Amino acid sequence: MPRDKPAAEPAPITAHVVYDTYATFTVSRSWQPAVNIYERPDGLRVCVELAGVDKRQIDVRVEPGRLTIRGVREAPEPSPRGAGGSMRIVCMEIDYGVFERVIALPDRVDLGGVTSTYRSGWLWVHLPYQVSGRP
Amino acid sequence: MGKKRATRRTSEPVAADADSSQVVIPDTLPILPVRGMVMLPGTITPITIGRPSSRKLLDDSLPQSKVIGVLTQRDEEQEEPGIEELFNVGSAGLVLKLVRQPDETVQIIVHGLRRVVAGEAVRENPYLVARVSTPDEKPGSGRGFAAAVNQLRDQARELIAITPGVPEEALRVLMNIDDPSNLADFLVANLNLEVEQKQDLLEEFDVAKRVRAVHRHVSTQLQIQQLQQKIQQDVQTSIGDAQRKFFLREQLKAIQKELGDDGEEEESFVDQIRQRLEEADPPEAVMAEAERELNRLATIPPASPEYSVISGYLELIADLPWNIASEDELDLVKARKVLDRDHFDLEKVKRRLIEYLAVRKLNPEGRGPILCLVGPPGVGKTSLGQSVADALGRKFARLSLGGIRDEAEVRGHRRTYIGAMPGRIIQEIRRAGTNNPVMMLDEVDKLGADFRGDPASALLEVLDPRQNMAFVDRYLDVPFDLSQVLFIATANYMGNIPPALLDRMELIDIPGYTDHDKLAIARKYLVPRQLRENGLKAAQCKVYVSAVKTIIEHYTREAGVRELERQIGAVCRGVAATVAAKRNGRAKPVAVDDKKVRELLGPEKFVRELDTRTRTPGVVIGLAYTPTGGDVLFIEATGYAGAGKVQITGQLGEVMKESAAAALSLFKSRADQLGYDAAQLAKQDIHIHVPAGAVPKDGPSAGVAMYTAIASLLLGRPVRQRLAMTGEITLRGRVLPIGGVKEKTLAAARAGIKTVLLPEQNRRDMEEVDAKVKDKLTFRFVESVDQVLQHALGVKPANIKA
Ligand SMILES: Nc1ncnc2c1ncn2[C@@H]1O[C@H](COP(=O)(O)OP(=O)(O)O)[C@@H](O)[C@H]1O
Ligand SMILES: [Mg+2]
Repeated sequence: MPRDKPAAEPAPITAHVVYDTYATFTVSRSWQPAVNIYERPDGLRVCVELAGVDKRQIDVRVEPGRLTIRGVREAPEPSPRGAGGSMRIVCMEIDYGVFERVIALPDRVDLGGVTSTYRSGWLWVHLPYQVSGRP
Repeated sequence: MGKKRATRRTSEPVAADADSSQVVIPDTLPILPVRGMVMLPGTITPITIGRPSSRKLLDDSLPQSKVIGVLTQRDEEQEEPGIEELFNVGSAGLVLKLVRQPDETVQIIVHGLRRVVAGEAVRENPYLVARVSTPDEKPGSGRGFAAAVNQLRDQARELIAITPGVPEEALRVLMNIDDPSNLADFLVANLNLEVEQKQDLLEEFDVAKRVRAVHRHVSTQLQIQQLQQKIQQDVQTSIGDAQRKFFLREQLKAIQKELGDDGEEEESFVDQIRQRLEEADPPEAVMAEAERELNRLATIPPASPEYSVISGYLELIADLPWNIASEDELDLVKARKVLDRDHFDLEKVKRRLIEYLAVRKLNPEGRGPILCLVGPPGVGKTSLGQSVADALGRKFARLSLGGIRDEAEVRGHRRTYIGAMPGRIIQEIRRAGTNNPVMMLDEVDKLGADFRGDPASALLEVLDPRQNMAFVDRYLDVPFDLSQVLFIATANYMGNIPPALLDRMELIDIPGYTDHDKLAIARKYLVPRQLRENGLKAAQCKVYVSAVKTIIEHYTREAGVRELERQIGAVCRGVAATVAAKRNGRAKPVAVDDKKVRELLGPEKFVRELDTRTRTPGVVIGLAYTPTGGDVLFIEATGYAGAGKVQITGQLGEVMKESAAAALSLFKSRADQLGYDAAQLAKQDIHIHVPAGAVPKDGPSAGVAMYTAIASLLLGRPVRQRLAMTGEITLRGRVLPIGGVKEKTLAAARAGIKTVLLPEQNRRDMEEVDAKVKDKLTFRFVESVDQVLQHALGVKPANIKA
């Protein structure tokens, strides 16, 4: 289905479960990083909040109608060894493991021109629009 | 970081294989017991953790691995379930998040990964760790199966649409799950099912069967929802009507209030209470007090807190059985029959109870002593109380003193503050509804352990026939006559009963059962009862003697039969599960023999540690006399480089230390004769470990065992196998008598001991030792520690006559 507005697919219910009391279901074992999406006349800028991820662990894919970002983030844990082998986890809120986020794209995006950069914990994906009137 | 070309792909379904980094499930997992819920693979479930052992589990294991086993407990009440008290199929889960509340409870969010089957426990303390296997599911196939899956999905979609309050996303998830096994699990997790039903579905590894079972549940719930919707529509109109009337009436009331003629409703409550009070017909003084309060009530606005305090009070007075007593049926023959119906043997106890009832029959106003049944847990003390009540045709009230903290629990709180309550005695009387119930003061010895003085003295007042006809509860504030109540007390251990109470009591000992007794009790009472409670008919389950014997000998070690009954219950539940699983076939009865027991209960609880542990020099089996009967314990001496000191670990206490010191100096004085170079001793310290909790009052009787442990260690000779000992020692090496011979020998026989060393002077106690126990054990009576070493280590001191 062609669209003309970018839209982040709603996060499945798993993203909201933190304090809910009903069991929810997820087929994949992934979590969803948060995104901001900005639209400018020349295209879209998508910013994905992905602190602590090795950039090689991020896979950015575009295909007609959608952008998929996925990868793995290890839990940021200090080595227990320094503490004489003993450490306990007092609080663990940060998502870890496999992540995946799918964003629906308008048809105007020039799939060939998509680029991404990673700096200070943000993954920026630049999705230029096709130059209108191009032959 | 530089720019990077995004990969360009066109096909490939998203999300299906996002978990390229499959979580590996190790073959042993820490086991988190949960109650009231079942975690299913694929679900993300918040779990609130309150139990200290579970917190410990998370503290210890999460830094190593985030994968835990989540198993549902069979009995929600259980605080620290063992592995066999959990359903053995559960889910491995990945702990995603962990948050602590200020009150130390922990909330975790767990992602169910896959089904696991728990095997034996590799550790039970401080939390469970068990071996797990991850059997493959049996996938469904064929056209019929595909159709069933589609039907399930369709019906589920209808159900979601029709059920109020289901999040919209549920539908999306439902449509996106391709795998039939995942689909079924998703529905199980979110359907409104009992824990047992969910567990059954979790245990179904055959996907086709699971899909069919879930389909059945979905259909039922769909039908119910449809029906509900219809009813809702039908009553919609009439509800509208009723609601309007209600509002009108409320408005009318408001108008009346404006006009100043309210108080109608209050008056009716006052009237109602007054009528109930008249029916209860309390003594005049009480009625006068009640009148006063009634009048006050009329002057207070109903919304004030005081109003509810007073009305609560008045309701109590109206409820109390001021004049209601049950008629005693003092037929001694019938009484005896009732006692026999409920309890096996206990001949002495029953005879004394009957005698006691007979005396009351002859002299109802007589002031007999209060009977107190004393014995280890699970010997039937509490249930005997119930039987006495049944035999007399009286109500039974039980006051458990174990948890009681302060005097107000017995005697009540003054009514001056909100939330005040009557004491437990008055509460129990109110509940019983008669003023002459059999009231069991259960576990009076626990009372003394928490505090002394006042609560005990409150109880004294309750028991004193000169005072208890006018017992004043602080809340009630008017006297209540307790003189017709028949009090019976119980205790585990006489030594802890507050002395003033002890003075008023006549103790009846219930020492604990032999294996033989237990077998009889199990056959006559426990097995039939557990079969019944688990919904099994005789045609479905045959329990053989070998099964019960195995449970007694290998899965329990107790003086009573409580654990035995629980284990029998566990077996019955296991059988019930298999019976239920084959409900379609005309099944023949499940035979429960020793093999079946082992299969259902897993590895035996008390694998004889005896043989392995006593292979090391320094380890001796001692016998202890504890509040819970007798017990065998390992006394273990270990040497360390040091300066000839002796140290006690584990069980602490002065008596123990003295015994240990005495044992060591005794050994020093005999070192020469035993061929040991005493100079060596100056170079080492000896630690003697006595397990905690084993010996509260009975310190000295471990003397012989400590001496032997030291000798065994230093001489490097292990103690003879399956030999246990008890006895006090003097500094000159004589062995003095000890108490609890009956209990100790019973425990020894139960644990599989062959020979017991007893002090010569305890020979006279042999009469009370059970004949069955005598058959199993060889007794050696000893007068001196030299004889002890001869029997235990096979060493004979030089120049001492044996
Ligand atoms: N002699 C016996 N005959 C039949 N059942 C018994 C006997 N002794 C104990 N039981 C059963 O064992 C269970 C535990 O008994 P309980 O009264 O709670 O023990 P206690 O109060 O001494 O700890 C009860 O179900 C009781 O009926
Ligand atoms: Mg009891």
